[in-house]
Amino acid sequence: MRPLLKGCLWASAMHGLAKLTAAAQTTIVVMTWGGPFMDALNDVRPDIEKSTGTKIEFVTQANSVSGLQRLEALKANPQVDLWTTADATAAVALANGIVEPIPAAEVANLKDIPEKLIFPAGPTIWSSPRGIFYRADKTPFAIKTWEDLWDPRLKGLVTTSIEQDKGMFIVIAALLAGGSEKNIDPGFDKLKALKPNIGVVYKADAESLKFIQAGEVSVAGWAVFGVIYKLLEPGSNYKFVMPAKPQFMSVNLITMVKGRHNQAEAAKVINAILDAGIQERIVERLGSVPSNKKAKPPARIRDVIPPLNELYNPDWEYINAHYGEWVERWNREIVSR
Amino acid sequence: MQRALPTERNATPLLLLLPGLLTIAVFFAAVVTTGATSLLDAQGGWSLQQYARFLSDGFYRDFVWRSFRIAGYCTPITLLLGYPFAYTMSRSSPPVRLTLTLVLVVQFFTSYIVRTYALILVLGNNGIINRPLLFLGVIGRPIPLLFHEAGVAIALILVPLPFMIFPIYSVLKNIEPNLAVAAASLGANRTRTFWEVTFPLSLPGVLAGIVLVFLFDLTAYIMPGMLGGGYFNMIANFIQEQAMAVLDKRFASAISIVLLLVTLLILYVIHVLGSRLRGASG
Repeated sequence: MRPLLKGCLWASAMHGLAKLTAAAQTTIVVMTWGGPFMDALNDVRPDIEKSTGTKIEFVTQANSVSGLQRLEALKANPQVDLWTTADATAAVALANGIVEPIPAAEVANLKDIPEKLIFPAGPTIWSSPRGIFYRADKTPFAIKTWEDLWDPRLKGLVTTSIEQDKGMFIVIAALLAGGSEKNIDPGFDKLKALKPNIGVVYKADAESLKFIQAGEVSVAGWAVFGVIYKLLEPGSNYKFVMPAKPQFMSVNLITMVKGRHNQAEAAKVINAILDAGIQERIVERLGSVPSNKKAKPPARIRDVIPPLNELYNPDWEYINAHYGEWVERWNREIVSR
Repeated sequence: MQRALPTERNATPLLLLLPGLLTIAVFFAAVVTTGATSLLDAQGGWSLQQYARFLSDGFYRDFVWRSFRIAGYCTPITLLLGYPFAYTMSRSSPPVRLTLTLVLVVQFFTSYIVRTYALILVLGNNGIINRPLLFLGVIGRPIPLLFHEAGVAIALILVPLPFMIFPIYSVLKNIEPNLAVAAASLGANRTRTFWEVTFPLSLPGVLAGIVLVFLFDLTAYIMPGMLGGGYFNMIANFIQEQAMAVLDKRFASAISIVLLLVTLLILYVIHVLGSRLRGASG
């Protein structure tokens, strides 16, 4: 009886110790998108937890703006430490005091991130080429340039979006017509000419593929590479083109939420996510471009990645201030029938 | 002890009401907050600026008109489809009734997103309507059923069908069968019995169904979002766009309050009409 009692006491003591250790371990809550994004981060979680000594929990957001609204609602007592978001939304969050600049000195891997990919709100964790994807068997010709979207042979066959990257498709149209985000009228004039070709407008990137797979349209005019990354096998009818100029990539940042107490541990997690090995594993799943210079992008994306200095860098502050007007003009001038 | 009993009896209904009242209070607080937000100006002062903006522009008002218009014609069509179904269910043998109920329940518990996406597959260029017609050479090109009002209307007729059928069915099955027998014994044929006995008695179910479906259609978000293809946005889509994409919460709140007030007015009209109809029929 005595050995049994001793064994029970020993086991209880060990269990208590384990619980105490777990309680001492800080939990870092990361808000990110669901689906493949969550899967990619979840895949590297054990290694990040091991290297940082922190526990990581994920919460999902439907999109960057809904994440921002959640953080705004919880501003007095934020429940999230780190937030992955689009660069345009991160700029709004920083201006509104939702996020704060990361402690750069505590994130050693920042030295391997190109300066162009480090923003006031945080560093880029991955980026995705924006271009055109289409089904070659349902499209009358091989698409090569942005201007091809305006070809009359594509009547009713194009899908596009202005919600993705906060109206950047309008900016691209403006750039093609000699304007820019600060001179948007040529963009709207150009889009008016595209109206006959636009069959459907999508809100989320995944919808663009869904509409093409359902046979409703055959060309996605503001497509993100990651959506069809896995369909680009040799001989596939799905093609992705990143037209020469202007070139743009959707950039996703990791930001530090203001008002949390675990900043040192949160910085360690950011550093771990920016590690070259971790980056490679994440982008392999997402079909994206790693931000760490030492990390290799997935083989299928290497041909389409433009040099960083050729990418168009929009003025997000200006775009954020005028996006409401653009949405209204889009509704009145482009999609009203 | 004897005196304690009435107190207990009085306290019980209050306790039972409490969770419901708390829930209503939370939603009421949300409406009050929305109303207060709609009255703020850019400097944080009180203003009717957002309402003036909305009401003075036909483009904005058109979202409300479009939503009422589509709800206005889809609801009667849903009634025309739902009433015979409910009537058949109420008059069927138990096995047939069970089968019909199961069909409805499966539809009812399937997510709106799944049902709406299924409609894309049915109504699309390669859907089960277009494909046979193309195959048979009846049409040369697919009929465009999606990404404009027609596709949204089809969804707003079909998806809320259970909301129409169940209330009507629950009233019809409780109508005393002897009433029809009595009408027949007094010389009424089946058509007259239906219009003068069964239908008037089923009006409470019909009105409940109309209210449920009308509200469902009026505030639809997923169906116009997915089937309108960006070309047929209803008022809920516009509110979402203002709140979530443009981040203009004050304007989104003002539109929400306008929608709420107009909806309450319409419900009041339906209620008054329903009371008169019931009064006239019985």
